[in-house]
Amino acid sequence: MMTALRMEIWKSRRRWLWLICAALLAVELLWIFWAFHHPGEQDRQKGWLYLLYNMPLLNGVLFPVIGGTLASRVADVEHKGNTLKLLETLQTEARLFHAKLLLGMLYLLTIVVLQIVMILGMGVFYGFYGRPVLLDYVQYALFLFTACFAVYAFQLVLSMTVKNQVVPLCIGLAGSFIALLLMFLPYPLPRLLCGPYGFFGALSLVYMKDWNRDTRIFQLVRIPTPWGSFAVLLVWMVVIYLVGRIVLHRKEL
Amino acid sequence: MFFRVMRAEQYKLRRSPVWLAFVVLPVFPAFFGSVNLMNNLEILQLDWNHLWTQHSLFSSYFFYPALVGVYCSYLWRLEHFDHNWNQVLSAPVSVVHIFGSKLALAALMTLLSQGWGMMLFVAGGMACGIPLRVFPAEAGLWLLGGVCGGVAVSALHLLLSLVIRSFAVPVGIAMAGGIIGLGIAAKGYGYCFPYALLSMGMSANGQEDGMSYPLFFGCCVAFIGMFWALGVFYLKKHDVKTG
Repeated sequence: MMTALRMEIWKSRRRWLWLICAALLAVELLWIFWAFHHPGEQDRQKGWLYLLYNMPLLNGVLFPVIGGTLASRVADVEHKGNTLKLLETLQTEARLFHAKLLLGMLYLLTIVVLQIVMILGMGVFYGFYGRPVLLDYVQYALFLFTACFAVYAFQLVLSMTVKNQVVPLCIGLAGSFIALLLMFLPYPLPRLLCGPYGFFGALSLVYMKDWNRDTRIFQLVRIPTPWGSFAVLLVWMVVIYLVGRIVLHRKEL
Repeated sequence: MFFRVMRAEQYKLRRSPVWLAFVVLPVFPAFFGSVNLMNNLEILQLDWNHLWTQHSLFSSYFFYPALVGVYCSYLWRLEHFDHNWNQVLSAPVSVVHIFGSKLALAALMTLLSQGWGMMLFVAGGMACGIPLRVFPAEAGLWLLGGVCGGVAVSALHLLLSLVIRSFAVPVGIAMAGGIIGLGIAAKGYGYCFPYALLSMGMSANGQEDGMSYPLFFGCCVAFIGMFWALGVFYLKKHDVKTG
């Protein structure tokens, strides 16, 4: 397995995958700068919770496309070089699939860790009152990583199955729409049913209420950790993995 | 010659699945905008202008740029495969025409997608129960502005997709650009940034208040000319990579 992973790392050299991750983080950093450029008293008081409220929205919009881009870059190298025929005579297709999943996992883990460091750093920089509840941020990181990995796995299956990369990328774009749409719907159930895209909102730890249009004052409430939704996401991941294995096994080279 | 090159580009697009994106994706903001309006009637009014803010807000910032990114990547995709660049650049065709014909097709698709988006907007409004007789005349300007801003983004993305051989990376850049454009437009520097021009042209979130249309259209033309010239310069001066 380590050999297959090492081969994937070699293949990804000079494919600028890190740049895609850096671009995602840069946009998120700019977003936080823009959102907090003149923090008021309310922003400083609720800053730590507000970050936990705001970031899932941004992740939901950006990640289906970024995850699709990452998966497309990892899978497309085989289509372009027509290498699947060779690789799958030397190893099982499952091993190749696992190696690509692991490679994506490494990048996603880096993104999540850097995002947490970045948002905590921004909170300190803007002088948010009090200390962040570290357990909340650990749970946020766990949920973000799992949701991102589910999206990546889904996009990877699509990108490896369909040679024309327009199709998986358009599905990724539609996924961004769906993620955004589901966050604004007042009903929570559809977030669990629309593939992995709805979980950026479903696993949000903070809820906004009592927003006053005139005074712009609002309340942020830490809701109970949505372990049930997390369990549903794990079920989705198993389904994506199993379906991916079957589809890739049956794919004609 | 230009039209013959354009026809060749059209042949390359035959039976491509890219039309699916242009048909399906604009349905999402139309549906989403209408649902969001109906869910927020305590702060929004049930009229065409408020529906347009909901309809255009997310589509102009997030999804039209990415959609244009997909289309422009697709337009160069065939050239980046195998040794096709050798054939393209050894054909007796001016590179000005090659880039221009792709830009013309991208502009056509932008027009079609914006037109389709407007039709969905009308359908969404009617489904919400907004009377068609009070349909605002400014909608024509929103459409025209969206098309012009879209063509400016197309010119930029044709240049990006020409330089970047990956299909997916420019789409990611488009998504990021749309979000950065949101901040830049809010700061008042939208005329300097093509992605912000798209949202300004579509009058997302009521941005037409205080907007100078001559400056807007001038900036669109300037960006289109600049990116076209840069694309031609790149094709003339840069050695191709094949295989």
